[in-house]
Amino acid sequence: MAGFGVLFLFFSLLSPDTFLSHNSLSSILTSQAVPGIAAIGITLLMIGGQFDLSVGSIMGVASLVFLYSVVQGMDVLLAAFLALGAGALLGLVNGLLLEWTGIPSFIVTLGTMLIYRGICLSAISGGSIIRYADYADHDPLIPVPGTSWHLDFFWLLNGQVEGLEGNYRLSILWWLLLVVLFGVLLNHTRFGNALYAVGGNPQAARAQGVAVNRVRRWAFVLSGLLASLGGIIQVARLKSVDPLRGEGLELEVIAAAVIGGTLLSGGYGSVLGAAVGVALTGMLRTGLVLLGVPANAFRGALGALMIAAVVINTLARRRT
Amino acid sequence: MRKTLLYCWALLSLTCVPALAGYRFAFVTHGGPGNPFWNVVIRGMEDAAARYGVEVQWLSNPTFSIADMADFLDDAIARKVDGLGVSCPDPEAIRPNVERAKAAGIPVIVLNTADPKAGTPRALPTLFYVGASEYLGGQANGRAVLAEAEKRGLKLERALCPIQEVGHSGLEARLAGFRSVLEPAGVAVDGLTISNDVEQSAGLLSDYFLSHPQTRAIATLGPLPADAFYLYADEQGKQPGEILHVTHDTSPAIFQHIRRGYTLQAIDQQPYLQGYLTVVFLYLHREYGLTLAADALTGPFAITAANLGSIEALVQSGVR
Repeated sequence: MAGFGVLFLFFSLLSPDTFLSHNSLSSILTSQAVPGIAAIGITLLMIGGQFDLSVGSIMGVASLVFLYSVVQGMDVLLAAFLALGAGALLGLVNGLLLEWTGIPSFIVTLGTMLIYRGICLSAISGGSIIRYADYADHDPLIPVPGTSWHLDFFWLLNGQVEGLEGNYRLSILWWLLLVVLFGVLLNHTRFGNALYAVGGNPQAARAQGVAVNRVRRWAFVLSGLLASLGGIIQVARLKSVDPLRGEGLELEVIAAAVIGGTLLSGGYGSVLGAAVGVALTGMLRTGLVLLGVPANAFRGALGALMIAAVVINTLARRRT
Repeated sequence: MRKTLLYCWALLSLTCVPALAGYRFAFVTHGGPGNPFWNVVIRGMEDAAARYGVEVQWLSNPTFSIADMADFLDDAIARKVDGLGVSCPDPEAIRPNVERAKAAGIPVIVLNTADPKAGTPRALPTLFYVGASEYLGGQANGRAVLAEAEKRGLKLERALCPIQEVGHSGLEARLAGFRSVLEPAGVAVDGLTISNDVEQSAGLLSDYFLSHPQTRAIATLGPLPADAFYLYADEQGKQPGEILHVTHDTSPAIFQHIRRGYTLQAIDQQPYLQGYLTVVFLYLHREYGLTLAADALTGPFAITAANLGSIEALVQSGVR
């Protein structure tokens, strides 16, 4: 939180007329909502002592399943559930592979990252792109139960909030709701306790009767589910899917989780910390752009920030 | 902490683009530094910026990401830039951002990749397009391949057109133009998804030609895929003309291979002009309210062994 405050102050002082504006704030929040949702899943996994490098590829597959089903005429809600199911299934495959092979999740998910990306590249052959606008001239509608009204499904997921200055989108709301929901899950349920125990010391957790494999499996399923939800929400904004959708997301969200205080060794971290980490990386990008720094400097700055965060986390852990 | 902040401040002051007297423009594109093609666009942009005393900022992700383009546009709007140069590989995905720019009074010029809906009611609210006609360029390459095959008495059955940035509407237009000439002539055109990674792509080309020995022509859609073809041809000991090769864009390697007879022609879109003219037109629009009545086409311009000498000198200076 201190790093967040310092960076906020830094950019506020250097670009007071642009950084402290709705355009800037909405740009940070809107751009980070989807990575923020995926980061929740990654944080759960990292607390449980695991990695998921396939999270970007899962997002790609789920986005593809969703939009392809919609343009083929499937009911949009059904298509969304199908895509969520696909994401959860791919997450489950990760969990089962980890369980059956005993190979570290870093390697397992590195392999599945390539396999799942291969699905996207094969399904959308020759480098074409699926654009919703090529199939329909208005967004899909869903009926409001008990009334004759209909709601724009894309707007509901990621529509721009009218009447506000800037590009505030409903995806921000979903992100914050999920942070609260998974914060409660992590801190006030048996599953959350078990996850911390499994990540901290799996042998001790097993000795206390925690079903280690089952907890890990669920963490992978949730990570896949959240990545696919992020993908669906992103499709609702961009209204297209290309085979590279989500590429590079895995490193961005792992960086955000680490910046937010989650330990790479497992057993420690929080969903709120990950949200702050994601917001901080977004603030860094927008802040640098507002200062006139070329966008490519962002990656270098993000790397430096991540190293600084790990050093601070390590020092803080030594003190406690 | 105070000392660290001061260091950071000093470092950023050095890296920030100094604000010159005049306007602040931003370019938001799907490619950028590290790619030989985009380096020339950037050179044109910087030369024009220096000549007209304006500040320009290049915003792009090293990997193709439509989501990042949308986010960078939000950042540029938050920075209150005076004009935007935008490429349009997926117009619907950036439509809300371009509309917001227009609402904020920021003029937008499309460069490099045209809005496919331009001239229709669904066109993006932009001034005009500065770039090549990708479709015509693809057709020119198709005609060159057919003419050379006829000259050599070669019966073409199949041709390959690998695509390196999936979902890119400009590359799709090049492919469509190539197809539109070859397929009516009875030549099947295969698509193949590759990347801008030369070594990996050379491997994919090798696999393709191994499984399709009857393919005797290839159209690459950019300098890095052309490099991949040259690596493949070199490693497999292919002789000049054994596989008819045409390409888009330019690089020193492409010129070298035109001279050696490996490449029939390169379709140049004069990227320097795209960067330079976009800045000039934004400046003139801001300063005097001037605009063009039609698009400014910078290509297709065919570079062959016949005109290579006069162009090559300009490549050394980074202008072509």
